Amino acid sequence: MANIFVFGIGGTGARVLRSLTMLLASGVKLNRNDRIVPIIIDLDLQNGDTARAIKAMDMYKFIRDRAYGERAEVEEGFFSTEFCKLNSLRSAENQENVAVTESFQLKFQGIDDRFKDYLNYNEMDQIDQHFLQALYDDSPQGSPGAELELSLNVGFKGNPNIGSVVFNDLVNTNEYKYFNNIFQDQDRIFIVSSIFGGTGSSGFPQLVKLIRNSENDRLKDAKIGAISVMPYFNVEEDESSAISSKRFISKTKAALSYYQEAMNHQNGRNGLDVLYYIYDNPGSSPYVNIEGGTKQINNAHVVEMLAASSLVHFANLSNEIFGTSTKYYEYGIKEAATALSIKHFYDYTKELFLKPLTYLTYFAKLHLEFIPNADKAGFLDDFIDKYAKDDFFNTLSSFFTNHYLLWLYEMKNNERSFQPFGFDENGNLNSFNDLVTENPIETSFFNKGLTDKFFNTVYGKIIDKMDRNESNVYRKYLNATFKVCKTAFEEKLGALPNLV
Amino acid sequence: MKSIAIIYELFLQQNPDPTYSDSVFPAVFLATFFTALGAAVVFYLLINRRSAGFHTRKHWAIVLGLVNTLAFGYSMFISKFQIAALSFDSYMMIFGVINFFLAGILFFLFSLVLKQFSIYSKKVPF
Repeated sequence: MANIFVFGIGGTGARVLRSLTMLLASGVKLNRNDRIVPIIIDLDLQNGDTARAIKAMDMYKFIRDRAYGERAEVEEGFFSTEFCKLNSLRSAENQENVAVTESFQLKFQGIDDRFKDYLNYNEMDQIDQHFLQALYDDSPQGSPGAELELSLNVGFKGNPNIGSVVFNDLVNTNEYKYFNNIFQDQDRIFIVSSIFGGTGSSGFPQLVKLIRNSENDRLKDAKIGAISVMPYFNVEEDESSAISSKRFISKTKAALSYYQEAMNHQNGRNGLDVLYYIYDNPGSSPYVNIEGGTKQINNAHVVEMLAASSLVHFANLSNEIFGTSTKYYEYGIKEAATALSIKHFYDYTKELFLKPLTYLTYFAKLHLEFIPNADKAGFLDDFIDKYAKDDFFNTLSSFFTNHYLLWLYEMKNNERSFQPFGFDENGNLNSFNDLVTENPIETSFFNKGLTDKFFNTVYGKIIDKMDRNESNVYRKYLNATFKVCKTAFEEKLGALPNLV
Repeated sequence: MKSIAIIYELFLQQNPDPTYSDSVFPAVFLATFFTALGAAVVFYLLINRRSAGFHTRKHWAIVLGLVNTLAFGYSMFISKFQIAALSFDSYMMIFGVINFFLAGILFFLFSLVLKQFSIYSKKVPF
């Protein structure tokens, strides 16, 4: 099983990884059964979005490991793709025995300081100090333009010129050294970053440069894909904040012109193999301007979900496509409606991503509403008995309530609303028959659609056919429920809605 | 035939009318046996291998109640018919009650055997 190292750089990187977690939980398939190794690079260690992404990934890993065990290849089903922490990968070549913390997040050293302390400004000759003052704004800490006095522990606050200096040090982190050691021939790298902020736009090119200059030939020749997320939201204008939406487009243009030169394959494979772009009109409802820290929690956005889907596209590319020219992809939908639903997407997205998400939404409803109220009669007893008292089932409940449904609800409430599934005014999912937006299941006297009786019947038949020696109740639960959701989709819903 | 009569006469005084032991008890027992067996077969092998919806303890209890009621009813009517009595007497009533419980026990025993062959009621009644 090969690895795909996914670097999520900055806040957008973390939010895209959060969306990726949801897509993979739904059973979105990677053709080679690759293992995903997420590595979040964000100097803002307290960032609320990053914390949520890491929590969701931790839960995913717990659920997946309990059900299938580590290193198991799973053909299909919920949580089938393995999420792995960097420190758990081992290879014979990794002789250096570098200590890496057990985390999805890469840890920089010395970022609790101001930028000038990070550069050892006070120990420099006066001429060097003057040179730095010419390059960077030396306004006092707290002022919007502060650069030399900028405290690094909340990220670069939209200053890629600072980020590119700090990211040069990435090569000295234990995590990067470890990654450099364990990278194998069939492994791939995918980098997620925004182009209009500070951390992502500076970290992305630096990371590509480090990889292509690696002394490890396997890493140097690695297949690298990346998505560069262009502006898709605005923030409220705040004179005291270092972040201003007014600079998003100009920063994007500047970065794009740099990427055009520096990120292409030129004279061999020294750039990116595949580069994905995504953009959305930021609209008129800006996010609250929070520079970083625990309060920076933005609603999930459909752009993040689609950015996550690019990783799946990259993972599924055959080896033959990688050559000496960089491939570019952009994402498009059928119609740029303010409120998007499933019908606005092309068949590729519907089949690969939205159908599994429908299964997962059925699963969420079954898990949160059907199973705890089901009667004990034998076929569901294993699940009912453990439901309220077992870590696996509790984690699954928490994953659905605090992460998956919240993620869907946030996407629905964003200005570019994405509503694949209906919610009532209290924020609860609609009934099964009215769940998929604009595609209700027709009912009649003889066909009541998706009812408790239907789910009981299908669960019973599926569990009856399953291996009677299956001792892992968690695997049994995920497998059986996946088949139930698939049957419900095929027998009652039939197809996802189309734009007429 | 005598052995079947013994089952009932364990709880009933022996009736001086030999019709009970010769024909009423055997007929009622056979009807009760097949009613309980039939109900268990229908519940576990017909309904609960086909679809869910009538598969819980509550539903099992409904079938049990039906079996009990039928057993009570036809024990009374068979007695009255065979004896050619003009009305029900207290002996018939007590016989009906005993058959009521006997039907329940038989249905319970058949349930224990047949539940494993069902899909939806493998652990019904427990």
